[in-house]
Amino acid sequence: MKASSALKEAFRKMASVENEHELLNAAAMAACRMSRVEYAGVYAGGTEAGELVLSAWCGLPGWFTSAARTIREGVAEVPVLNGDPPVHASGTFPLFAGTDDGPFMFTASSRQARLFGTVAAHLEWLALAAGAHLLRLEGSSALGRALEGRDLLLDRILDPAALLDGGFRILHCNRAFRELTGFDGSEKDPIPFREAAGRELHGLLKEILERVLVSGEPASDAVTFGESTFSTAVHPGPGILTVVLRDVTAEEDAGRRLGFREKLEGLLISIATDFIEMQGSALNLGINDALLNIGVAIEADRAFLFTFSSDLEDMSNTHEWCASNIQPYMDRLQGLRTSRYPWWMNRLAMRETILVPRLSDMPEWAEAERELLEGKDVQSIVAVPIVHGRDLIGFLGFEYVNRETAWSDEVIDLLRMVGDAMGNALQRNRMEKEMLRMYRKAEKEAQINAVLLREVNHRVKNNLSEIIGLLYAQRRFSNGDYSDFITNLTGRIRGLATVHDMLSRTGWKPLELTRLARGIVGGAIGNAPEGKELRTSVSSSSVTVDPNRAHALALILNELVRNSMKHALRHIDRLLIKVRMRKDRNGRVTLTYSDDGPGYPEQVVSTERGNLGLDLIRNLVTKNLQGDLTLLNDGGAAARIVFSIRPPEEETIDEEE
Amino acid sequence: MRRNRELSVLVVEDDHLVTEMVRGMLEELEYRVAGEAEDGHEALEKVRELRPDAVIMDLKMPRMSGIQAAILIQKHFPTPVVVLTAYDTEELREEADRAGVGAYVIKPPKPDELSWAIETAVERFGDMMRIRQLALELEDAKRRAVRIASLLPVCPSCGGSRTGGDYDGRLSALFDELNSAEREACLCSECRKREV
Repeated sequence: MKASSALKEAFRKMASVENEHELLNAAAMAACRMSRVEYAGVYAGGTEAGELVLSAWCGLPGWFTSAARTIREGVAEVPVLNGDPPVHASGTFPLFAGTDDGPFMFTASSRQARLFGTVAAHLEWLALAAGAHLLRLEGSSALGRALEGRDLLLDRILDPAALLDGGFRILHCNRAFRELTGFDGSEKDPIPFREAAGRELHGLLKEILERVLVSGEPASDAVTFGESTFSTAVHPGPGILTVVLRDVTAEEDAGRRLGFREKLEGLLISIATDFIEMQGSALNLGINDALLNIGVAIEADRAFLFTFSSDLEDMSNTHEWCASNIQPYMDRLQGLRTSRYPWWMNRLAMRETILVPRLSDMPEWAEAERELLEGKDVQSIVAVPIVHGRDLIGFLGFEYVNRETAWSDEVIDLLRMVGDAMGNALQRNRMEKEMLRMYRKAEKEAQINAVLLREVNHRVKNNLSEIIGLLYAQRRFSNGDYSDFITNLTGRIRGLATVHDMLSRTGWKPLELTRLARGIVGGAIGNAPEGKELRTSVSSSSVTVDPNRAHALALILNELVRNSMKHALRHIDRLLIKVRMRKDRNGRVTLTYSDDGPGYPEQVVSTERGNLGLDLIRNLVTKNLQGDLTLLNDGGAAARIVFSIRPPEEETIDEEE
Repeated sequence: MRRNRELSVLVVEDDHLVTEMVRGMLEELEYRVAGEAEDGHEALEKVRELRPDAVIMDLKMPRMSGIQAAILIQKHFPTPVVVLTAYDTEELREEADRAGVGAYVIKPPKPDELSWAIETAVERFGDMMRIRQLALELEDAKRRAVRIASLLPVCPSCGGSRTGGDYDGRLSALFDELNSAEREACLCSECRKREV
């Protein structure tokens, strides 16, 4: 058959077939009819691996069709294979004009020989005719596979990707792109990118697409679309633009989380370091700073610190930070009874973090806690216990007012670490305060002791001086009887010792007159002579006297009792001593001492003459007390002493005096 | 130290028994007890009234303290003062010293301590009076020296004459005020020989 006749027949045959396989078989069969062509085949279609498939052939041995079943796309050359019989390719003819990387037809023979001239031209036409009929069979499997191959290529990209023409119309797009945009991709004609991708995404990408189209240079940019962040890469090609949107949301989140963690860790190190040296007001400022910094870092609305009383009965909000427009509550949260918040306290007692993403998550029995938080408009809260050793010191809390929030483990871990740092600082501060308090107390006690010691010294010296004075006075009134001298002197020194004892027991503070009188008069009962009975009655009074007056009054009462025992009991066997006292509005006190004995001799009452005892009483009243003494007989001997308990007004140096 | 047994002493003390002690000791030491007072205010009255040779005074007393009383006594009726107190601090001693107190004795004193304190206070008081007198005399001498210098006939700066005005009259008035030694120092050698 002439080549031209074979060619015409082949053209007719190819024009009549309706599927790719028959078309390509017809082409291969027609090629084999050409002179010097022993074998022919067509590589067409394509696989996911980017290979062309030997789709039709004529005369090729079985080993060849098995061994060279596929070739890589874009090669357009038949591999040289040595078999039996040998196959030597003698020409390749593309099915589409001007393309060297698409489907092609080849011819071969068992000998090495080149095809040229009319045969080569006929084979070229045959191949192009086959290609033209492939295009005709638009829905044919060859073209379908080819188009599908491109789609598969884009689909192999997991990120949304699209192929645009110069008019920004979508030629192809992958499944991820369709899922992102909602574009179904069913239209056969190219669709404007704005319609396919939607107005928002088009708006985001318009600038970069235009830039790449104009410059011919690839470009990339980051855009946020929906809840995701995409790194957009646009590559130019001949008349096309490839757009790939790589979803970097996860990376961004990871980076953000890492940055956030680094920030919190830096904050923690800074806070923990600062707290090492802080004390007193600096610690308060440090805590306020820490609340602010953490509150801002975790975007909380309110941050606070509560501390417990040492018995855990009460808790108070000691520090608070509020974001702008958030109402502070610290002043209202003072001295709260912890027993009102059992759920809260139970968690803290177990050193647990209190995590409430939503108030509705709180158990029913946390009613008081919920009420408290609702009162503060809180929607979400986290609180970590502040512990030192085994002691629960307080808790550190962060609240959200405007939203419910889930708290990540890393944030909670960091907050617990901040709580530990605060706990150490607070405990150290408490201990330092306690040490300072104890030091001040010891210092104050030392000062008081020094004053007391000085006072004791003064009193002892004064008492010794008074004893010497008594000796001189006693000598002056002595009748030469040494026994009497010693008895009287002993009684008086004992009186001095009694009052010194009473005053030193009270630390030389003001003394109740009643107590003083009962001490002196009551003490005399034991000294009553044998066979004599002494009874006493001292009225109650709230009058107190300063140590100097108490001292003088004790000596006066001692002398009065001694006088009663010496003179009244000499004549009778039973004696009642009464002491009455009252104070008027002007601060003057009247102390009346009386016994129910025979009374004073007349000359004592009328002439003020008497013994040493009465002389001492008179002088002690007038000089030491600056008071008045009246001796009288009123059912017995009585002495009325009137004195002021107000200190005399100090006189200053008067230059004119 | 020689004891002056003629001295009269005022006892100022608000504690009667301590007064008894001081009185007893003074009588043993053969001093004369001029009187007793119970506070600083009364002490001033008694010093004015009795003019004692010395005052023995407590520090802590009602109405007016011993220090205040000592200041007023030195100001109005200069008298030797002995402080007798149970308090012994450096501040009080310095305060008493500034108030013109001559001796500071701690209760209860031994009799010879009390005697030594009285004599010391009296001697210091005498010294003080003499110093005061000398100071007055020194002030007077300085005043007269200035007056004499003002009548020098020549200015020591420019050498000019200062004999103008009523120079002779002022000179004559000065001569009238001179004491014998000063007057002798002013005489010329001839006149000095003649007068001698």
